[in-house]
Amino acid sequence: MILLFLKKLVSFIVGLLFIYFAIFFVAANILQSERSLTDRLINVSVAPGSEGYSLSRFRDVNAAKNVDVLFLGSSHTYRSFDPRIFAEHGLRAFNLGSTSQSPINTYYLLKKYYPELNPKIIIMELYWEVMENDDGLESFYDIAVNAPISLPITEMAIAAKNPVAINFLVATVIQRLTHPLDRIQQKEYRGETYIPGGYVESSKYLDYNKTQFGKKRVIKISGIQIDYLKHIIEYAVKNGAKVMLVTQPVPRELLETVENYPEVLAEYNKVASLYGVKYYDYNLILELDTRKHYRDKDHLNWQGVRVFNSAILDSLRQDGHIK
Amino acid sequence: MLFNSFEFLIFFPAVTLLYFILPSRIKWLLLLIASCIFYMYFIPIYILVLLLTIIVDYTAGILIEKAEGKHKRIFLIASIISNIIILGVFKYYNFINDNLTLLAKWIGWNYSIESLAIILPIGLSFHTFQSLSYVIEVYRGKQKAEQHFGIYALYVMFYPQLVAGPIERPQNLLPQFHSRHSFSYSDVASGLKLIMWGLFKKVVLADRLALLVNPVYANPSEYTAPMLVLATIFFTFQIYCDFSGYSDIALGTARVMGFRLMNNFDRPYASASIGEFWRRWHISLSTWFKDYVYVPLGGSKVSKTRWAFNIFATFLISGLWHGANWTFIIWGLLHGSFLVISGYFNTISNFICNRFLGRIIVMNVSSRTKVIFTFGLVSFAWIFFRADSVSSAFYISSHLFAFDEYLNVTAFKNNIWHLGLSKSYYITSVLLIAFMDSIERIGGITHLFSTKPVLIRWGLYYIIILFTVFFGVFQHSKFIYFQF
Repeated sequence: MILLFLKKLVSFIVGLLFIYFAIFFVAANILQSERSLTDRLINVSVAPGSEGYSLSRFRDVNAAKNVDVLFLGSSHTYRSFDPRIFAEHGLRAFNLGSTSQSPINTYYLLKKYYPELNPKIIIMELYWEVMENDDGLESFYDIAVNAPISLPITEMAIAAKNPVAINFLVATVIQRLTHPLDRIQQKEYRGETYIPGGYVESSKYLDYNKTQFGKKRVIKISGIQIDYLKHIIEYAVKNGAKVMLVTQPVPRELLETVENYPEVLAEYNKVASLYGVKYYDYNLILELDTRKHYRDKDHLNWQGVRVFNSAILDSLRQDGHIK
Repeated sequence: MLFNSFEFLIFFPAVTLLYFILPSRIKWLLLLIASCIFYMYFIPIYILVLLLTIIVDYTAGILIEKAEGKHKRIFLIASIISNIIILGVFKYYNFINDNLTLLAKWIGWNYSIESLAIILPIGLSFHTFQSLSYVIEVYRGKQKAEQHFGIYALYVMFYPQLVAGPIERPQNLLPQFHSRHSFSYSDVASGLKLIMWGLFKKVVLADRLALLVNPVYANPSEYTAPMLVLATIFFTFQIYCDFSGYSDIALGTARVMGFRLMNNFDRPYASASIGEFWRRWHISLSTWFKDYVYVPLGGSKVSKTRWAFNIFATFLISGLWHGANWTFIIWGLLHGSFLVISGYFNTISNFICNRFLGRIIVMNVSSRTKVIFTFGLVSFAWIFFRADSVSSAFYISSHLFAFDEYLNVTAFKNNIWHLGLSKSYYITSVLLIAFMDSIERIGGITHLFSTKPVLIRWGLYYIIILFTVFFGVFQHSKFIYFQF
C-alpha cells in the first residue's frame, strides 16, 4: 500500500515539475522582452540594468580584487560611499550596496564575493527600513536579475522562504537563455552618474516643498535580519576582516518620524557590543542641511557624501583601522 | 509554526513519516513532542500556560469522576474558574482595566492600575474551550476521565487543531488516540487534497483579497462608499477562505495520519437565514456555545423574552470569545439581534398567515433572495469584526448609505488608482471566488472527480497547485483566527 502510494506520489511530483518548467519555457518563447517572464508570469516588475545601477556594479565587481574597504548595504550604501574619496587617502574601496539590500542578502553576497575581494575592512550600513522585513525579497529580485546566478544567490532565494523567490530565480535562469546578461545595457538616469567601484553620484537636491517624510511610526526590526547581521560579522571576523557598522545620516524630518529610534539604536549597539565591533550613527555625529546635502527624503547627494565620507575616514582613523 | 510556512513544509512530512514508522505504543509520544515543537515555535515560554491548563483539567477530570454529589459540582466549578482566570488574565485583563480607567476618568474617580505588558498566548481561547468541553462532559457522565496524562495532554495539544481548532469534543478525539492508525491510502490521499485546497484558499484567495481589504480598513475615511462596500464584500470572502482554509489544512493534516476531526464549515454563505448561517459557520464553536451556554440557559424551550435573553447572552459571550474589544462585542450582539428579530418576525408572520389568511397567501420569498439577504446581513456584521475600532466601524457602516457617493465615478476610479492594484487583480479575485465556490458546491475537493480517470483528477490538482505557486500571496501572514 505504501509502495503504491509512493509510486503515485513520485509520478505526480515528476509531472508537476515537468509542467512547472514547461510553463516557463513556453512563456519565455512567447514573451520576448527582457523583463516579461518575471513581470507577466510572476507579477514582479524588476528589469535588469534599471535604477540602482546594479548591473554595472555586478559587472565591475568581477574585475575587483583585494580591496581595502568594502561597503555593504542598501541604496544608502551605493549612494553614500564614494570610492574616489577613499582612493584620495590611498584606500582601494568597492561599494557593493544594492537596492534594499538587507542583512539576509548581504550575507550571501559576502559569501559570493568575499574570496575575490578579500577586504581588510567591511563597512556595513544599517538602514532601519530594510531591517523590518523577514525575507530580503526586494533586494533579491534586484540582485538576481543583475548578477550572474550562482550558488550563494540560489541560497539567498531559499533563505527568503517564499515560493515567489524560487519562481523568480527559475524565471531569471530561463530568461537568460534567450536574453544573456552580457547583452543587456545599463540604463542611464538624469542627474545620476555611475562611478566605477559601485558608487552612484547624484547631483540632485531635495525639493523641500514637495517632499513628504511620512507619518510617525514604530520600527520593528526583524529578528531574522538581526540573526543574519550576526552571521555577517561572524563570517567577516572568521576571515580576518574588521567590521564597522554605520547608519548614514538622514534628514532630521525623517528621523523624527521614527517613534522608537532609541530602541532601534539599542538593537544595533547590542549586536555590535556582542562582537566587539564599533557602531556609529552619523545622525548623532553630523549636522547636515536637509536642503543642501540630500537628493531626496533619505539619500545623500554629492555634497552630503563628501561630508559623510570625510567623517567615516575620521572614524576609521580614530579606531586605528587606517593611518 | 504557520501552516503556510516553509518550516511546516518540512515539519509535516517528517512527523507523518515518523508516525507511520514508529510502533503504535509510542505514537502518542511522537505526536505530543511534535505538538510541543509546533506550539513553541510562537512564544516558547507560553507552553507553561498550556501545561498549567492541562494539569488542572486532567486532575479535575479524575476528581469529578471519583466524586459524589455536590463535590462533583465543586470540582467542575473549580476547573471552570481556573480556566476562566487564565483566559481572563491573558485576554481580558487589559480590556477591563482600560475600560475601568475610562469610566473612572469620566466620573472623576482616581483609578490608576497599570496594564499588563503581555501577548495573548496563541490559540488560548481554542484550547481553553476544548479543555472545558472535556471537564463538562466528564461531569455530565458522557465521557470517562482520561487516566493517561500524555494522551490527555495530546487531546489539548494535538498540533493540527491546537491553535485555531476545530474545537473538538472528547468523545470524538480521545478514543482516536487510543486506537491504532496504520497507513491508509485513501486517508493519506484525501488528507493531502484537503491540505492543498486549504492552502489554495489561504494564499491564493484570502491573502489576495487582503491586499484590498487591509489598506481600505486601515484608512476608511480615504475611500468612498462603493470602495467600502467592495472591501467589506472582499473581507466576507477573505475571512471565510482564511479560516476555512486553515480548517481544511487542519483536517487534512490529521486525516493523513488517520484522525477524523469535526467539520468546521459547510458553505455558510449559502445560508438562507442567520440561524442556518450559524449551523454552517465555525460549526465546532457554534455547537460548543449551543451545548454549553445556550441549552443550559434554557435554549428555545422557554418564554419568548427568556429565549431572546438566551440568544443575546450566548452571542455576547461569543463576541467576547473572539476578542477583548468592543468591536467583537457589537459584532456578537448584531448577530444576536438578527436572530431575535427574525424569530419575532417569523412568529408574527406565521400568526397572520394562520389566523387571517390561512393557506391562501403564503409569504413567498425565493430562497435565492433569502441567501442574498442573509449574505448582506453577515457582511454588514463583519464590518465590526474587521474594523480597527468602534468609531472606524461606525464610520464604514454609516458611509455605506452615503448614496450620492455611488454616483461619483471619478472618486471611485481615484480610489482604485490610490490602491495601486491592477485591473487583473479585481478580475482574477472575482473569478477565483467563483471557482472556489463552484468546487465547494459540488461536494468539495475530496469528492471532486473521484470517479473520473486519473488524468482528469491530476489535471485539476496540477491547476490548483500551480495556481497556488504562481498566484499565491506569500507574505507569511498569520491566519486571522490565530489571534483568538
